[in-house]
Amino acid sequence: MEISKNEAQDYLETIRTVQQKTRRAIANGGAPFYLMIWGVVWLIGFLSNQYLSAQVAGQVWAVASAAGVIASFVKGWMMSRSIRRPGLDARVGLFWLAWLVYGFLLVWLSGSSNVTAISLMITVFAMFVYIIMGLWLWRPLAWIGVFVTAVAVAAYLLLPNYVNLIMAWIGGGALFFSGLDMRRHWR
Amino acid sequence: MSNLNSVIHQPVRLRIMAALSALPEDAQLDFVALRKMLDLTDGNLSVHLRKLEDAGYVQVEKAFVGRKPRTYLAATPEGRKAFAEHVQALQAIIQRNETNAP
Repeated sequence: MEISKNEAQDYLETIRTVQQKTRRAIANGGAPFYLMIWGVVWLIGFLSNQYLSAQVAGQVWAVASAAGVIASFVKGWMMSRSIRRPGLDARVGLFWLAWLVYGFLLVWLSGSSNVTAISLMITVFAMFVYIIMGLWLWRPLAWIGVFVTAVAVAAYLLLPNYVNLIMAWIGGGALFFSGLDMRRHWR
Repeated sequence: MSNLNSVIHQPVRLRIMAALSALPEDAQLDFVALRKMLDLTDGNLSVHLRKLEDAGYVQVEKAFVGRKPRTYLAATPEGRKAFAEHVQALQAIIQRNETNAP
């Protein structure tokens, strides 16, 4: 079978276009979306810590987190209908469910009523999971986890008065823009 | 001599293999999602999938999501290898022509 150079170029261009479209379909859901949605949740939550009373901030966190969980589950369900990864999908879902349960247990057992400390505890716990998932699934996720943990600990120790603002803009921002960058990169 | 794969070379099958090869190795793509992505009809996609399945390049798996039956597709390791070789053959044609150009 012989074809001309121009035909070969056309075929390669077709392959490139289709593969880009497929990667875009993957990028349009999954990890980038979760990072962006949780970046926004953190931004709202930590800003409420800074500017609202502890009781109201706790309520804002609860509502924002519930919205994040629901949005993540809906997106995950929609994604699994078109692209599935047998074995991995169920394990990742169960992993996050276990994280949620253990996160609540950790907060409850700590007995702390300091909203900022509780928020940071959950943040650091979430970043620990990012590091684990990053090591197994996608390495940059682990670096995001290390970066946000370092920012959280440094802000808590060195700039306690600004910790919520720092976590809102740098922590939430890191998640949001990592998601945005991942989405752009995969396109 | 060209090493183009006659099964994959057909334009629709080339696009199917391009899409499935772009997925992570453990991922499967829904039939409907692929049909929409490639802008094909059910019948057209089915016919070409059958040929790729017969060649051992594509794995077709039926599953239920809720109560609805769905068909999931994935490129087999042999399919990925054959597709990669086909792409190399296309690139070789371009290079050969560039080398021979005056």
